[in-house]
Amino acid sequence: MTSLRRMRCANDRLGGARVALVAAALFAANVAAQQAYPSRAIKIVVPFAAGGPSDVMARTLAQRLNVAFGQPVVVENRTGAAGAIGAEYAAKSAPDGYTLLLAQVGDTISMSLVPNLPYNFQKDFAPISLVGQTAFILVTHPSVPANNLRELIALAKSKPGALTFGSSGAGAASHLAGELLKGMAGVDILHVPYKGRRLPPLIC
Amino acid sequence: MFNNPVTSLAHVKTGRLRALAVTTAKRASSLPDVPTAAESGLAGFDVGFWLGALAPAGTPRPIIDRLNAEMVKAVQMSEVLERLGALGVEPIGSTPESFARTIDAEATRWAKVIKDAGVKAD
Repeated sequence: MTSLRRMRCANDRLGGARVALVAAALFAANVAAQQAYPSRAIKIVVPFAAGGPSDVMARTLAQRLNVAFGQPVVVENRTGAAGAIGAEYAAKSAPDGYTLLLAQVGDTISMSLVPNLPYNFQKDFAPISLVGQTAFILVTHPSVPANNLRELIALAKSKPGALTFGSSGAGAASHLAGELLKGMAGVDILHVPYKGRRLPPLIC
Repeated sequence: MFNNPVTSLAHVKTGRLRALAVTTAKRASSLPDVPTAAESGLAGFDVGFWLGALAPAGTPRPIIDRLNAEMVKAVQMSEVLERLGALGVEPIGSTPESFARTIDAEATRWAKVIKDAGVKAD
C-alpha cells in the first residue's frame, strides 16, 4: 500500500510538473506574441456602411494606428441587422488583437431590443476605449411656440398627445433619447419614426 | 426631433430650425450657445451617440493597453480633431475600465427605457 501510494504521489508530482511545464511554455508563447504585436495587419470591423460616423472614426483611427504600429490597419465594413452581423463576426474572431470592433451606442440598445442575439455584447468583448461622442440636438420648427426646452415641456403638458417627435427609426438612439425625455419630463409626445435620410417631421 | 448637430447645424444657422437643447452633459462645441437638457431643468439628462473600440473577450491585457494608448493619442491629434469635429464628434479616449462602466450603465439605462416605453424593433 505504502509503495503504491508513493508511486501515485510520484505520478501526481510528475503530472503536476508536466502541467507546470506546459503552462510555462504557453506563457512564454503568449509573452512572445505580445512582444511581437502587431506583427501583421490589424482589422477594424465596422458594422455599418462606409461614410457613416462609425466608419469615419474607424478609418481615422486606422490611419494613426498604421503609423504608430508600422503595420497595415484595414477597415472592413460588415453591415446588416442593425450592426449585429459585424459585432457577431468580431465577437467570434480570435482574441489576439488582430480583429477589433468599432461599436456604438446602438450596440447597448440592441441587447434589449433584438431577441436572440448570437453574442453577448457585455461578455464577449474586452473594451479598449470610448473614443468619441456626438450630442443629439433637440430642434423644432420656428413656428412652434417654445423658445427653450422648459417652454416646450410646458407646451407638451398643456396639450398631452398633441405634439409629435421624429427619429431615424424605432429603436434608434434618437428615438430612445426622446422616450427618456418624455419619461423624465412626464410628458406625452407621439413618436413618428422615419427611416433613411428623409427629414423627419418636427415637433409641432 | 433629435438630430445630429452636423445635420441640423446648417438649418439652425439659417433659421429653418430652432435648437432648444443638446442631449449630452456638456454643450456641443459646434453650437456653444445652445444649453444642455440638464441645464434646462432635466437634471442628469445625458445621452450621446458614442463610438468605442473593443476586442474579442480574452484578448491579452498588454495588447488592450497598447491599443488603448495609441487610440487615446490618436483622437487628440489636431488633424484628427479637425476631421472628427467636421462630423460633430467630440473626442474622448477613455480607459478600458471607464468604457466598460459606460457600456454597463448604457445597457441598464436602455433596457429600462425600452421596457418602460414599450419600444419594439422595426
